[in-house]
Amino acid sequence: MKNRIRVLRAEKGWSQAELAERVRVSRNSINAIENGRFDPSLPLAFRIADSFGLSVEQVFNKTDA
Amino acid sequence: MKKSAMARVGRTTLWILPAVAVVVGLAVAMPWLKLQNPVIAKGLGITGVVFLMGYSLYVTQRQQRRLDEVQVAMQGFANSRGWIWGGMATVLLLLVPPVMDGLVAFVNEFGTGSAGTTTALSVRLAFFFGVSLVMMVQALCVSVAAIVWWRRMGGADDAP
Repeated sequence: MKNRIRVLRAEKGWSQAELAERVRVSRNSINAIENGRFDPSLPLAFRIADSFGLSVEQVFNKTDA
Repeated sequence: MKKSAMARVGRTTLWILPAVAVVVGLAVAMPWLKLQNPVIAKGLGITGVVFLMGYSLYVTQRQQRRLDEVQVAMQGFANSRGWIWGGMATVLLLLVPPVMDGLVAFVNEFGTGSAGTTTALSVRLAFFFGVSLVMMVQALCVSVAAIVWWRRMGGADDAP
């Protein structure tokens, strides 16, 4: 699964640690998700999308799409 | 070192301290225990071991409550690999003659005061230290597997 977390973070000026705090996970976890190494659960994907004020589809998309 | 990192080290030390105190206490008390009634000595030993197991379970449960889903996945990976790697590493370690000879001399010395004399107490100690060794190597391997997991997950990148 691909995502736009890095770009969205840059737009907001947030560090990984700041985003991690907002969605209540560790910074390493945000790093793993951001790099596409770990696919988050639906609740976490919603929390991440909510933190940017976007829908899940606007943050995450399928790799083979 | 950052204040938060120092606080984390301090907290971890405090959590580990009771377990270390019991192990060190039992080891230090060994000469005294040998002079006591065997029932009392065994009772104290069993109490110490049961405390260690119960405390380990308590600490593990407490730590797991604070894990997020990526960390839970990491723990699953680390445990599934670490326990097997640790068991195999211990067997390989014991196949090295100087290590095995050293351990035999250690339990003999600890149990009888002489490196070349084996008694029933030495054998009991050998079982105890043997199982302890397996658990320590497995714990080490679980930590190594956790590091392997985080490296696979992308390391410590923090692009702003």
